[in-house]
Amino acid sequence: MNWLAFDAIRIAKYLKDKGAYYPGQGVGLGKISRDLGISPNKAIRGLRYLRSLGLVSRNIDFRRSRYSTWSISRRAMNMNNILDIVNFMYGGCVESGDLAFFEWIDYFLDRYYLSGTTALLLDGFSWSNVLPSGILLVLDRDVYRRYKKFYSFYRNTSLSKKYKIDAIFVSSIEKCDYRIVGMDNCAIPLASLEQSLVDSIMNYESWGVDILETLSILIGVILPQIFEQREQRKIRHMIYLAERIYNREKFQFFVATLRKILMRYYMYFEEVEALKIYDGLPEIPENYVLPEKFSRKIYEAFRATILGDRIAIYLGLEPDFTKIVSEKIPSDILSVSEA
Amino acid sequence: MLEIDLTNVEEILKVRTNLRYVEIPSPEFIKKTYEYLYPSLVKPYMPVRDLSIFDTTIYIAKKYMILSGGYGINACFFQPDERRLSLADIDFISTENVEDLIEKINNNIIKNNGAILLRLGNQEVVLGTITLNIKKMQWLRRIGAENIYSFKRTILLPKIGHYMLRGEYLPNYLERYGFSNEKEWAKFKREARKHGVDGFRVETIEIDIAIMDTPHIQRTITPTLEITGIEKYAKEKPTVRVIEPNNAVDYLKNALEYFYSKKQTHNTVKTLLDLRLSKLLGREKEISKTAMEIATKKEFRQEYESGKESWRFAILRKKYQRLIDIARKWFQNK
Repeated sequence: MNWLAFDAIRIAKYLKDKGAYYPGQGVGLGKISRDLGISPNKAIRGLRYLRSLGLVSRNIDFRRSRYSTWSISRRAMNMNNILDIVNFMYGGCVESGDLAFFEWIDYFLDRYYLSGTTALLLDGFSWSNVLPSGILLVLDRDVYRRYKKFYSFYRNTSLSKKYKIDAIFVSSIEKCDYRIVGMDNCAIPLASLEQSLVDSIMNYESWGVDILETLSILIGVILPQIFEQREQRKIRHMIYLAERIYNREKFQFFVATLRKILMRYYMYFEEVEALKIYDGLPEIPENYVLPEKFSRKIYEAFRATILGDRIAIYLGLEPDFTKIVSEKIPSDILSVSEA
Repeated sequence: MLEIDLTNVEEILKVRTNLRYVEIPSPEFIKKTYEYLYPSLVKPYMPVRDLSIFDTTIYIAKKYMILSGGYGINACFFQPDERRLSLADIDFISTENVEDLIEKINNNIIKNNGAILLRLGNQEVVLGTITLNIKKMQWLRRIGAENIYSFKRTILLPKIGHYMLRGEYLPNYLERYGFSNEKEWAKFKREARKHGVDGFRVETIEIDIAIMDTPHIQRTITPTLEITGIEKYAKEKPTVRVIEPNNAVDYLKNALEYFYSKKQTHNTVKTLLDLRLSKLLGREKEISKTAMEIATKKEFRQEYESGKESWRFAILRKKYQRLIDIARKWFQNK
């Protein structure tokens, strides 16, 4: 998946540099393949991938029906963000410009994996394609000293001003769900989808987490898939991971977050599957309250994804009702017919 | 949450309803209530509807929100024989985030087996939980009412004697949710008819919630249906949070002024009757003049005595035949 994403990003960057914007300009497959030095097969796979994300358009030349060109679609508004990730991972080199970022981290560290929103994006999941301001590393407690050494060096580099690094330590990263993902010039230990969601929610204030993007991916992409396929395994796996690695307090926070999201799904759309999953979640104390700032993000993520402003208006959720306003009840409300 | 597989219809017969704070009354109850209020009450199912409202109110107002509106005022502040029937919707006031509170309330409903999941093949629907009432929310937006949420709750009711209850027949309701596409549908319909489950009804009650900051007091709530003293149906009569009466009088005064100026006859009479609350607080003089004026006008008199919606005043009319009788008793300066 990731090499595909990488090729796709190169193609997107290429189309952008060529000024191939739909509908005015387009570039043919042969030229893309030649200029980038990749096989046409590889290029078409990358283009199809970008098209599945709605980022490129295929333009058929009506005079030559077998000939088509490719260009950046109107939807690809935030292309720079994708490119940012690539620059960060591949081009974002430390000082000398010799080493790719993760090769460089690998030089210092062992027994770690990359998590947070960046991991979700690298795994191909995005909603608004927003890159967080840094990265979240999950490390084994055993490498604490090595990390200290690494960080003391890192904070003196110019890169540290651009990308912040947050680290969390766990008793053993073997308890976590991650895998080694090979890329062109390095291999990254990357959290699985469930693990990145758990880590992101638990460490929502981390530099490596854009919580709105993470929640948008969960609400707008993952949950609809789970409901559609009636597949609760992913949620159960998340609960398992959260309980295994984090303390009780954080675990409650995670469960409360899921409960809130699922109940809201049910409340708005009467999604029975959401209620069934909700019913199967572990109990939390009744007076447990999520931090206001975080709750607000959940609401925003609903608005950014499945609700959307227009649907919010349709549902009658406009304007924002979460604000408490001390006004008298309009008299009209009392005239609701009882028939 | 209770789960019922509709391929085994008998399961639904055991459960009968998702109401948990009340008992389903006997057919005799409806008959006697109907006779007691005859000829004023033309809708005999109304006392049964009170079951759904009472049950829902307990979940919401025991802990989380403040009961308000016609139902709150009549069920908490007036004696059973002095009540105006207010059984359309329930009004609440919330001082906290409504959606967070609904989550907690739904959780309580689920834990209390007040929610039932009905399943047939691949189709599922849940009865008893509170969900957003999209249509009413849109209507509220249209009339410019802001900071008001509207929710709904579905109630499963068994057949009670030969009385027509309110709501949709269960098979029709399920059909609307696509259950008829399932291959077991024909069998379910057959079995439902055999066991009388086709007579079950699903009724929907509306819950309106205004977001504002208002004082409240604690009061014991009594179901409206216990008017005749024939049977008691509430399993418990808990203490609920209800709007502080002085504030309620202030709101009602504003509403009365509005309805009266707009010549909304029914709403004017309805609000005036709820404003009897002012006498309990010694504030009846504030309304006295308007009340006497309204009570002597023909259209309001007729609305109370024989208007299309006058069944709502059925209990009051047992005691006060004319609107002026009420005005004299509750609002006249002495």
